[in-house]
Amino acid sequence: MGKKKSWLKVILLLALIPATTGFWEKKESYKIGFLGPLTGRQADLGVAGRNGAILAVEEINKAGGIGGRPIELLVEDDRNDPREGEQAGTRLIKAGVLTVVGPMTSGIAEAVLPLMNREGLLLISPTVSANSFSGKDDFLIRLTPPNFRNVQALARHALQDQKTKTMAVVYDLANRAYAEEWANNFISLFTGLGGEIIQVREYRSEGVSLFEPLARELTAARPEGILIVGNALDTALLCQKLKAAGNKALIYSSGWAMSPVFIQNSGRAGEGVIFFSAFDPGSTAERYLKFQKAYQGRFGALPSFGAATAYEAVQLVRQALSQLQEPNPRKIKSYLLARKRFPGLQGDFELDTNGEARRSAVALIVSQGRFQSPPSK
Amino acid sequence: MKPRRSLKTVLNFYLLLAAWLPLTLISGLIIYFLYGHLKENLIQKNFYIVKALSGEMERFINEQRQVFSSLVPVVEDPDRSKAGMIQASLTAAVVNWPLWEKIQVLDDRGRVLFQAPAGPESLGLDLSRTPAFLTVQKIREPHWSPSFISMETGEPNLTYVFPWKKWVLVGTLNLKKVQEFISRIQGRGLEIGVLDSRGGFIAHTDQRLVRQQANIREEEGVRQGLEGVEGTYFIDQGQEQSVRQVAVVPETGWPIVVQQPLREALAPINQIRVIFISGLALGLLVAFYLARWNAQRIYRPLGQLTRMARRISEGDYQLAPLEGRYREFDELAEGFQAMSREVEIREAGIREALARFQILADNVTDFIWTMDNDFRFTFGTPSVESFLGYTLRELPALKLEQILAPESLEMIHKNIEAFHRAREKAEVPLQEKWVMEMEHIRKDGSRFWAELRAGLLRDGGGKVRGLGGVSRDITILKKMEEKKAEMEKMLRQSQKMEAIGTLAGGIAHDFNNILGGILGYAELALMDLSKTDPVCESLEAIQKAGLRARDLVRQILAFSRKSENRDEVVEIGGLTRELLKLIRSTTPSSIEIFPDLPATDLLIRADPVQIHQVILNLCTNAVQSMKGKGGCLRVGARPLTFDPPVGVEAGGLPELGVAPPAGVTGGKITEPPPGVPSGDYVQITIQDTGTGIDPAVLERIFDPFFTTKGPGEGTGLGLSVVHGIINGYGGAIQVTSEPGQGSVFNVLLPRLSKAELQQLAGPAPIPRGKELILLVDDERAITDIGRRMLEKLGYEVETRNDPREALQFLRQDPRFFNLVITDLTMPGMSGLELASEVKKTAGSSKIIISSGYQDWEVREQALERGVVAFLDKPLKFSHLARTVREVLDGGTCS
Repeated sequence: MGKKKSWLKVILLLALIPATTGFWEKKESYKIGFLGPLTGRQADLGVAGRNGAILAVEEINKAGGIGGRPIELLVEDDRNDPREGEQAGTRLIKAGVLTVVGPMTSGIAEAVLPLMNREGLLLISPTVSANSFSGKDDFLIRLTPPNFRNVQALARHALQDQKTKTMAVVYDLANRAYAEEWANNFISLFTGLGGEIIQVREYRSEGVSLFEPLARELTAARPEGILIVGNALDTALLCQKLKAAGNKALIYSSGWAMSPVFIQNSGRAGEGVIFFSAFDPGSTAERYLKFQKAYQGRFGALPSFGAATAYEAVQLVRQALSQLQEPNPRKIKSYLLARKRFPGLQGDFELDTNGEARRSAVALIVSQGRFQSPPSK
Repeated sequence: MKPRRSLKTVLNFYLLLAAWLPLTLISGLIIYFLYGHLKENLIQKNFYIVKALSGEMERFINEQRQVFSSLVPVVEDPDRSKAGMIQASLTAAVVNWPLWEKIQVLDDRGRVLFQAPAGPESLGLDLSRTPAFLTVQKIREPHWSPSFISMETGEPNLTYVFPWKKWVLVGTLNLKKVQEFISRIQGRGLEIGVLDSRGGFIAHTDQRLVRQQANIREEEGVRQGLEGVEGTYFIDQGQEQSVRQVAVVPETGWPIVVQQPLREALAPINQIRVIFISGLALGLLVAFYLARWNAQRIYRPLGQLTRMARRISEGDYQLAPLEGRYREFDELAEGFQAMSREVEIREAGIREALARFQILADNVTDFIWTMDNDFRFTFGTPSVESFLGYTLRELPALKLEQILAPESLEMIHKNIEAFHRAREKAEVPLQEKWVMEMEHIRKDGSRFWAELRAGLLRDGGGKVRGLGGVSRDITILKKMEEKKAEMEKMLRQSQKMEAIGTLAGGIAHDFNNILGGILGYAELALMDLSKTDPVCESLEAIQKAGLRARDLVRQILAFSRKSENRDEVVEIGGLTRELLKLIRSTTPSSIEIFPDLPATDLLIRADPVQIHQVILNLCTNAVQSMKGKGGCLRVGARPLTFDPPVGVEAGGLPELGVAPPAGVTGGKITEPPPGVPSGDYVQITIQDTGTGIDPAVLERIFDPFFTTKGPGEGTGLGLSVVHGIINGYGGAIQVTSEPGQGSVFNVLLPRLSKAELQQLAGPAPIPRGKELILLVDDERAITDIGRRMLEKLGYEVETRNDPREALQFLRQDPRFFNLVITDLTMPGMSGLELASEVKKTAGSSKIIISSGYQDWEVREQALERGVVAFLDKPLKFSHLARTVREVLDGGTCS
């Protein structure tokens, strides 16, 4: 009886073979997550970062992957909402990604970092620059130096180079972790250097923002300089309103707004706005030009600093994966911190022991619709 | 043997194959063709979709463009004076055409002059650096910008830029309408995407892609679409293949992508496949159960047949009819039943044969056995216990060495070797049967002879499997053969003696006739002469010599039993005493003689001369055997009676026929020696303590002319004459001897009966007569003497020398003669023939036959032919007178 049953089984099995598919699995891929705001008002930063990451992944995979294994990019949209960011982070953890490129904003980083520290999943953020993350041995590596450095450079530049003695400060509460800190840092540094803050204003980049009253108010205070810590669109519009209000003060902006969106929307009001950033959109570094060309070809637009640093973040992961046998997030973190020095798109950079990039910040002035280095004095 | 496949498996397999294979083939073909057809259909259908969408988009864009263009006259001269009107028109347009989210009128420097809906901070905004303005400045033509996500609504927007004179009209078109178009189209796994000129999504089935500004400009088909090329593409995404069709909206150059995973697109075919597979599986199952069901109908009877066969093998021949509905099985069952009957009959036969064999095996005294090729018993009958002394249980372990004497074993080994040699050569046909006599050894060690008849046992293939045979104890047969050989030897001896006797008798006969003449004439001459005549002395000397010659002839005749002289009664005791005196005088004193003779008379009827000679010869031999060393001669005589059932005390004599050492006395003579009838006998024993007789010599001592003595010492006739005399009297002689110890001769002679003793009387006067007598003899001397003797007695005598003449004479006058006396042996006609003729022609005439020797056989024949008496030659006067008178007086001569 047993014998009979066994050959019956064989026949049934043979009969079922045509119904089965997918016998051959492709070589298992490395999973990398991307976390950033793809929708909403911060979408320009998120989309740019995502596109930069996509470009890097596509280039790596086109070149044969890492040791023959391709990289798979799992993209999550945090909508710049801490709760949404946490959920997206959880989804990435469950998907078993080795590293997350992101988040793009400090607010989300604040929300997801405790989770990642708990789970031991490494975040490589292209853009998070809040000082509050500095000096901590955690699962966050940052490719943009902490604000403190930019703020320090900006304060000194404003005071010493531009002779701006009085300043008004405006910042966006929608990205408070970044903006408030940025503003406060500037205030203390600027005043520490002998400058005077004559006005501090805050706004919330939600719904319809009315910048005309704010511009009038700022203009009326007659500061020699106005620092805006906001996103590109808000900063651009505020610049236009300030200009319309007859502002004569120099406008300084945090690196946050340093994107083509600012150029497109600020019109002529954007001319002369001073940025301090480790990222130079007008860089002529070979690697950067190559990247810029590839990005434009792939997405039909110029890359922002978010795209560039996200691209660099993926490259960091690639280097780690190509060196590590059976990689895991802890190993990747250890590898990257041990390796320290990396070739960036606009020049080599280093990571300190806490995973913070050291790049020198430079002053950039918008001139003829472009971010340009200020003429040397 | 390799286990063979079961019929059941094979049948089931082929049945399944037959049911399933065509089904599979047909299904496979259907799926194959259906698949191709469906794929073609799918491509066509999706192509219609993409083309339709493209057309719809084209219409939509054109429509919107026309809507937008209708605003152009409103801003013909957008100076301040008409500002209110323009703003109102724009506002109305935005209200009426809600897809237009925003309509702006820019001046040549890119500043917002008018905007609807009116925003609080929008007027005066510098949009000179927006891509739309920059582009239109460059190309001075209306154009559609790439899509973007509205900061305000989060929805995909598009700007239409229309340069008009020194102004620029910018309309922001909400593309959610496009999303609506797409969402109207449904399909399994169907993905539809409308892309802008940079490859970003304007609309997609998955709206998230739009909001996240996903960009697929690098993808297969999209790249081509952006270059204005439409087409169908098969793309691999992960593990899934999809078919992607791309069409381009001519107005904007937007690619429209319709994509469907083949798995989904061909889902119907997969469903059909699943149905087919399920059907196949079901078909297989049904086929399997059908095969099983049908097989059961075949196997049940087959199984039954198997059980039947087993039952037949177990001896049960009562077969139930087969189940099943096939004619073949009925035939098979009939065959089985017929076979069963035949087997039953045959088995009964075998059983009967076995029973017979068992009876045979249990009761046969011969030992029947079989052996394997290693000469180990594989079977034996129970008779082995009486045959070899071993039990049946011990039989298998027996070795040939245990049961065969070494000589026989050697013979066996030689036979085996010969057999093996023959087998190796394979030239000669192997010997199949043997008959051998072998000496066996019983378990108790005793030996015996057995005849072995054995043959090869072969199996069905003719291969030699062993031996089988019958062994028979032939001890008795062997003994009988030995006895027979002894008897034959005796017979030969007897015949030899007979021949010698015949020869001697023949000579003696003729010599006797001559003597007859001499004695007769001498007697007649003496009768004629007076006693004082000096011639008488010479005549008497002649007569004396003649008588001595006659005695010698008689001795010869006696040896050859051709003569009988019983006419005298001899007293053995007296005769022996007389004789011993004679012997004593001629015997050395070193030899002592012990007579052992009874006081009573031991009478026999015999010729005293012959008896005298017998005893003398035996004694002379005994004395001679003791010559030189001396010894002891015992001569005894005693009566002896052989009564068949009763033995008689032997009285200190050695046993007859046995050869104990000489000097041993005692024992019994229980039966007479061979050839001696029961009755009264006188036993004469002559025993010496001489050299004895060598056994080799012993058997020849009675041969004539055989002697151990030197030349001149003996004739070699002594013992042969003794033998002849004793046999002549119906007696017997036996000898036992031990070399160095001595010999014993026992002589048995018939004793006179009482009746015979009474007849004994003194000598009667010679009777005379006057009757006519015819005397016939071929010897003229005899007839002459006979005639003269008879004439002296007073008878009238006529003689004839030719029996035929005598017969002729008789026929002339048959009643003439009272008595005819004829010779026995005559030329032309024997005395017996003559007697027959005389009886025929002259029945009243009495007949006497005279002969030199008388044979008992001849006597018998003669009596039958009417002869009444016999006369010994040479004729003695008194004997002749008495015999003739007795015959003529009517008596007969015994």
